[in-house]
Formats: sequence, C-alpha cells, structure tokens
Amino acid sequence: MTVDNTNYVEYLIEHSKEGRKRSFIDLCEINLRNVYTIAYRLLSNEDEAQKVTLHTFVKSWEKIKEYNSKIPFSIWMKNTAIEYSIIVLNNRDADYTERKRPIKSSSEQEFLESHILSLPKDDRIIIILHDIEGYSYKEIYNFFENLEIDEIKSKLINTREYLINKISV
Amino acid sequence: MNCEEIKIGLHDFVDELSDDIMKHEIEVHLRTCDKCFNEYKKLKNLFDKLKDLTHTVEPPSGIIQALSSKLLENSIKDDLKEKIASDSGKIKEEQINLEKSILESSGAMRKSILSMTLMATGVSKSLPIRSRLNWSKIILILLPFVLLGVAYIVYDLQKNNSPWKIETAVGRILIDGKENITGTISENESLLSSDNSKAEILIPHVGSIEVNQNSIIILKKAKDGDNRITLEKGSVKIKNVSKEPDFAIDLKNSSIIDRGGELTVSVDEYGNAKVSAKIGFTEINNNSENYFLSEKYVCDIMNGEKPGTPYRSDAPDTLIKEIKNFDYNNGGDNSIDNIISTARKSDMLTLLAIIPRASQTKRKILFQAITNHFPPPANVTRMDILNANKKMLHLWWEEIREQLKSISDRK
Repeated sequence: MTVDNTNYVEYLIEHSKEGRKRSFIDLCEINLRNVYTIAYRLLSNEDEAQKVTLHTFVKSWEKIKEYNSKIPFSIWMKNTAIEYSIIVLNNRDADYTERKRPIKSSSEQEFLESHILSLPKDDRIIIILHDIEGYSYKEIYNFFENLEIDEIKSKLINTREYLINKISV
Repeated sequence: MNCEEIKIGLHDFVDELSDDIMKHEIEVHLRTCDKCFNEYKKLKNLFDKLKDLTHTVEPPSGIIQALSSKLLENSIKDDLKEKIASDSGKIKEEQINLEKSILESSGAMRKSILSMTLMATGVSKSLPIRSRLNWSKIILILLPFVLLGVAYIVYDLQKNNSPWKIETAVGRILIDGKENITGTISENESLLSSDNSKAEILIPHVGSIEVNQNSIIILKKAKDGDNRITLEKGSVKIKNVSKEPDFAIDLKNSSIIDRGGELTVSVDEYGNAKVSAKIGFTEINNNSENYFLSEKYVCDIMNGEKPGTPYRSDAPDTLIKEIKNFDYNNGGDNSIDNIISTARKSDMLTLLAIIPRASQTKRKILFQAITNHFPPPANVTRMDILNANKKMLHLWWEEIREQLKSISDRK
C-alpha cells in the first residue's frame, strides 16, 4: 500500500522538523494502526508490539530531520517498525516459546490471521512482508542477515501451500 | 512443462514475476488442465483473503499518551543533564576521585557507590545524594527552578489585560448601564448599543470586536490566552490576527472559538444564533463536542440546541431549505437525497458533516458523492468513514478545506 503524503501530512512533517511535538504526535496518531499492526503480526505478542510501536515513534522523533520525501512517511515509519521487530525477534531468549494461540474460527479472517500468527518466525515475517505488506523479495532480503533470496522464495511457497491447506479444509 | 513444474511456476505467475514465455505457457496450460487451474484458484483465494486482513488489528489505547509523556520525559532529562554538566564541573572532579575509590573498594560496596555516581549525572534517582553534595550545591541546582516558578506566577499575573479599549463609538453606548466616559470596558462589565450606535473594541494581542446596532455583550474574561465575551443579543464581527484558540464568544450552551481570520456571530430575539466564518476557520464547542466551521461556511444554532449542519454562504436557497428540513423537520433519507443532488463541489463539507447523522446506506452514497470531487487522503479508508470515525472525518475535512481554499485563492 504505497500512498503519497497528503498536504496535511507534509505540513505536520515540516512542523515536526522544527521541533513541534504536538504535530509529531498527530503524525504518530495517523500512523498508529499501521505501525502497531505490522509489529503485532511480526512479533505475535501484544506487549512486545506495544513496546516496538512506542520505540518506533521515539526513534522517529529523534531522526525526523533525516526524513526526506523520497518515500512516503507511512512507509518510512513502517520500515523502522519492521527493523525493530526483527531485532526483538532475534534477541529473544533461546527458550522463548511463542504463546500457543488458539485457532479462532469466528470469521474467515480471524481464522487465517491466527494461523499466520502461529507460523514459525521466519515464515511469518516473509509472508507478512511479501503477501500482506507488498514488499519485494529484494527488500525482504535486506531485512534478513542470514537468508538468501532463493531461500526466502522457497519458504514463502511452502507457507502459502500450508495456509491453502488450512483454509480449504 | 508438466503439472509439477507449473505448480512451482504459479507462484511467480501470481507475483507477476514470470517472463512472457513462462506466462504464456502457464496460461495455455491452465486452460486445459483442471487440476492446475484448481491450484491456481486456491492460490488466488488465499490472496483475496490476505488482502482483507490489511487492517484488522486494533491498537491498544494509551500508546499515544505514553508517547507524549515519553517525549516530555526525554526532553527534561536532556535539559537536566546539560544543566548539571555546566553547573557542576567541580562535582565531576569529585566524581572521578570517587570512582577511583570504587575501584579500590570491596566488591560488596561496588554496587551502591556505582548508583551514587549515576545519580550525580542525573540518571538514577536513589537516595545517597546527601553524602555527595552539600547543601549549598543543592540550593545552587534548585535555584533556577525556584526562580522559574516565581517568574511564572509574575508572568501569569501580567497576562491580565483588563480593561479593553473602546477604539471608536458611534452614537450613544452604555457601559454597565452608565455613559461611556472612560472609553474602556473592564472584566464583567456589559456593553449595550442602540438602534443607531456602534462600537469597536480592541482585544489586546488578538484583534478587534465590532459591536453592531442593538447588541449586548458582556466581557467575561480579559486575560492573554483566555479572552471571553458573552453575546446576549445582536451581532458582532471579529477580526482576529492570532491563530491560537485564545478568544471565545459564549452563547447559550455553545462557545465559538475563533482561530484567526474574520467571522460574524449574531443572536436574534428568539435566541437563535448564526455563525459565519469569512476568513480562516472557526471552532464551535457544544457540550464538549467540537464542530469545525470552514471559511465561507455558515452554521445556524437554534436556541440552545446543537449546532446545525453547516452550509456554504453562497449556497442555493433550495439547498439551505433542504438542510433545515434535515436538521429540524425529520427530513431523513429523503432530505439527504435532495441535498446530494443540489450540492455543488464547494458544498462538499456540508455532505461530510451529515455523515455521522446518516444511516449506513446513506453514508455509502455520501462517501461516493464526496469522493467524486475530493478523494479521501491516505490513511483514511472507506471503512473509517462508514463508521463515522471522528479523527478520520476530520482529516478528510482538513484535506477538502485546503483544496477549496487553494481553488478560491487561485481565483
């Protein structure tokens, strides 16, 4: 979902660069759902998602002067959120076990979403970034330290097959 | 290619990454092979479902609150660090000595003294400060804060700007029931004009009030940042050079907050009010709900009621009549249809204001009608508007107002 900055967002960015916190907070409010959603899906954990969201906002405030309008502001913030989410995922203790999620089936969306949240870490990151958020293989490759493009691709294919099986039962 | 190869190739195909030859080959194969076509359909189905997921997670409330206190905390911390760094070069030296002694001291002591040194740099908040700093140093550090506090009180007091000057008065006006001798009006005094008298009052740092014939106003509060009058009857014209919400006109149950520019407010003998924004926008506060009125728009407020639907000052009479029907005669869906069909491009803010009060079906039609002229900005989704999400409606409002403004500026 690439959308250009509106006049209003440009205006808020200008003011934020001048150091106005109120304008920056408005910007965050506009992007809140975007940022929280991606963090929550990547981490599959509400508390961590909340921390990453807050951290993303605070860091964006500290480096707002570096932002130029080459990419839409919403994407700029989202990229930061993805970076931090992946750092958190990689720094989890070896014995961290993701909470077993009940598979919800009250609606098709919830059913699919809970399956995605229960996927292994890397598989989850890849399908979220590629198929939901629309990042390219190359962009995803840049977020990872240890996966080659081909590996990313084949993991994605396996994940899709797995999900297709789940939803067509 | 065989079915197994097609199955792998399908993924590139749906990602639109396959080259033309491959694409062609797959298309041909799909036309003839039911099994693979079925695989393709399943993949498409998954994609459709994934697309629907885009915005299903609701963020917990309180993040924004936490953010604003976090930003505040960080800036205070930075200030404090600077202050301590500059105020106490000496303390630093002592600290270095102390750190040396830490190194020499036993392991058990190490922890507590470490926290003391952290304290001196303003990071931790534990007790042992007394052992490190003597009283004169503490006073030296606190002094700026005390001075700031005193300065603030003085500053707040000098913000009182009563009395206001009456710049011009045509004919006979009465101040608090007496003749206008001083040429000023003070807090809690009233001003009354007759059939053939008018007055202009200056609001310090904000602008001016023109009080027209047959009007009564009361000056409720005269303080920089919080200037307030009550309009009992008649009409006033405000010219405001300050964009801050620092001037308000109180009516029965509503408060008109000017945000810079020019506006007129009138109240007739039945207590019905009309607010008309000429330049800049205006905020109307009713029962702690905020309504926004764009320039060139008018809002009627019937005696003590909620503000009515705003309409453009040059709107056709048929449109205004239909808006009254909708607002006060239970015009309902029928009225909405008529309003949509008569509304011009410049009337779109009227349609936007109707959305929260319209039924789901009408909201869809209103959304489409407005989108034809002004597509909603990024981050504002159709769903938000159909749910009449206040924040999102306001974002759209801002966007339409900006565009209408730039259209009229160009003219």
